[in-house]
Amino acid sequence: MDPRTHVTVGRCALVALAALGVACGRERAVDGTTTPAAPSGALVPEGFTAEEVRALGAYSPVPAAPLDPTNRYADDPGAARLGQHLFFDERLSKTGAMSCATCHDPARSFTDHDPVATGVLPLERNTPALWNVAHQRWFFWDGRADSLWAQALVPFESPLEHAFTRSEVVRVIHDDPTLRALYEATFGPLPDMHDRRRFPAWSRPVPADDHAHVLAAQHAAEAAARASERPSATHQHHTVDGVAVNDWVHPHQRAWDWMHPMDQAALTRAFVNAGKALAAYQRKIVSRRAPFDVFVEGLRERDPAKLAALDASQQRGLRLFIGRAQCFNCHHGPHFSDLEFHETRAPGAPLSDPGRARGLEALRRFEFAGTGEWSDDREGPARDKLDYLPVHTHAGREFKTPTLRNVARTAPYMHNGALATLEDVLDFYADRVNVAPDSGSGERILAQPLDLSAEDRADLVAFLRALTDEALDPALCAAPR
Amino acid sequence: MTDSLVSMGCLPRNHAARLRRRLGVGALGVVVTLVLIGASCADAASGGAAPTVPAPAVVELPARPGLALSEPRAAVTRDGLYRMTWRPSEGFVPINEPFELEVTVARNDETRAPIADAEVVVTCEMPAHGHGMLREPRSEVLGEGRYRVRGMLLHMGGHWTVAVTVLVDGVASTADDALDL
Repeated sequence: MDPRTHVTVGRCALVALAALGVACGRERAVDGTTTPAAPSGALVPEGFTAEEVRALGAYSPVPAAPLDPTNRYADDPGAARLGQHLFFDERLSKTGAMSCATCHDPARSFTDHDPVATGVLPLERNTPALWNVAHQRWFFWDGRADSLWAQALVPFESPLEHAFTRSEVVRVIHDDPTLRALYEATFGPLPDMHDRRRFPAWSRPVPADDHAHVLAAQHAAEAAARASERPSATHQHHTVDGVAVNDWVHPHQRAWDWMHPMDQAALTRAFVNAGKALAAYQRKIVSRRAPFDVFVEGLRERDPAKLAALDASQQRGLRLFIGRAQCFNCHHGPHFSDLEFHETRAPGAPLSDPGRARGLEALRRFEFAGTGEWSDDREGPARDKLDYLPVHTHAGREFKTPTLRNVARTAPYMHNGALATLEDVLDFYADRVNVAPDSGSGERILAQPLDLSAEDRADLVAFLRALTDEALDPALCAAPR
Repeated sequence: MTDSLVSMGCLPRNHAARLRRRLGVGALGVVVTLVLIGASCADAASGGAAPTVPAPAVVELPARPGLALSEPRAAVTRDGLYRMTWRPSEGFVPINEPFELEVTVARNDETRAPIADAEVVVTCEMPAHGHGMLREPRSEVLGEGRYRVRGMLLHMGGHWTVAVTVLVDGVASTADDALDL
């Protein structure tokens, strides 16, 4: 045979084998069509339907934190370092013994494990964990803040939480060489807080009819009644000879009113920058590689070893979660939350707490809203987010859907911390016992009990435990050295 | 065969003619190769004598759930007066992301005359859940019976009813539709 013939035969064989390779690389999809073997398709493991697997694409991976145009320092390393200092600084409270980390304790998955939080005074609601908090659309259980930096400012001046003032927050930064250097390297000069005439102690604007102040007044009245004492100056009103005096002005407001408007603005600017620094730090609190995420990676990469990240019980729980148990209705997306509000009728929820309805009212008059003067982008996404909020709210007592990332580490549960364990939560949703009274606007789909066996519930809890990833850089879990 | 290989992307077209010229000389090689392919495919198709592991099924894994709607939806108002069309601006209704609608309003008669300078209101409800959107979208007039509705957000998957209402001279007419996300 001509040597060229050997070459040609060899080439033909190679071409044909290449064609065979392509043919064998095509795998049969469940709908009968062929799908290229490129890693664009996901495996359908035994026991799952194609539709179930398709649905999982929306749950993992956790994307990068969305940009926050209202905070131009959101991804500034210097701001984040200052924010980390502030997060753990107990001087930023009336008692000098309470920091953000007191309730959002890294050792407790950035929560406190108490049913409801306790600041200087008891609060009404459970402390939410901070995992992936930069992805939230609204903040607090009632969504009364629309950005992370704005949320971070509220507890400082709440009489229930830090019971502090913006003047004292700025003064702590001003008087601490480390904090001051970090602040001024990023944000520029601080106001001259040594000048006590321009910047009097304990000054802040006190919002009228603010719910935290109403609660603080109630606490004070109860304490006074117990002690058979006259109400203290924390009351919004006092009496003279039994007659209410209506021109009473809160001492913090009185000090604030003494200030020149330009000094008020300079002080508030520095306070806002502290909030933006805290947000820059909190954007680093990320959980994105739980066993569930490894499992979804295994689907995408068709890697059996990664599919083994979920055991059989957890896989059954996952199928229930996105199927018959209907958890997915509210808990969908990479954070297992729609980031919006629902009435779950949690047991023991006080009927006096209207949740989102009051949050919306507070948001409309919020000093630090994303469309306000302290925002770095008033007309961008913040405008789109706030402009179409409902004016016509209904009567439901709605609260934000919490993320389920690290949910096994953030007990107790519900907005009022009424349920101690994940098993209790499953029983509550499955059996609908001990539900709070119906406002008439509750989630109708939650009204019907679910047909979940004891094994189903155990599988669901097993799956929820597979959403755990607390592998955060330890350097982020304490004040910087 | 060379045409098939070209169409499968395995063989550049300019090499195909050269291969065809050589096929006469290399026919033995082709025959041998085809026999090999045939044997392999027969194995794959029938399972062969030896046990084989079936190819696992694969599916696409979309990261952004929602409903593709490239063509406008059309509906006539309950009172029969107007014919409305609506479509998402990007041809896609996402779940739990803001989006916009483009709406047209015309008379439901032989003139199909566009209704300009009206007000369009879109409301969506989830009957199974007992609630609607957590936003109140608003419309702007684009002219010639066209409107843009901003502020839409359907925060959950499932069955949504869609009511597109047009306010003409103070009188409301509503067209009904539905979406399954």
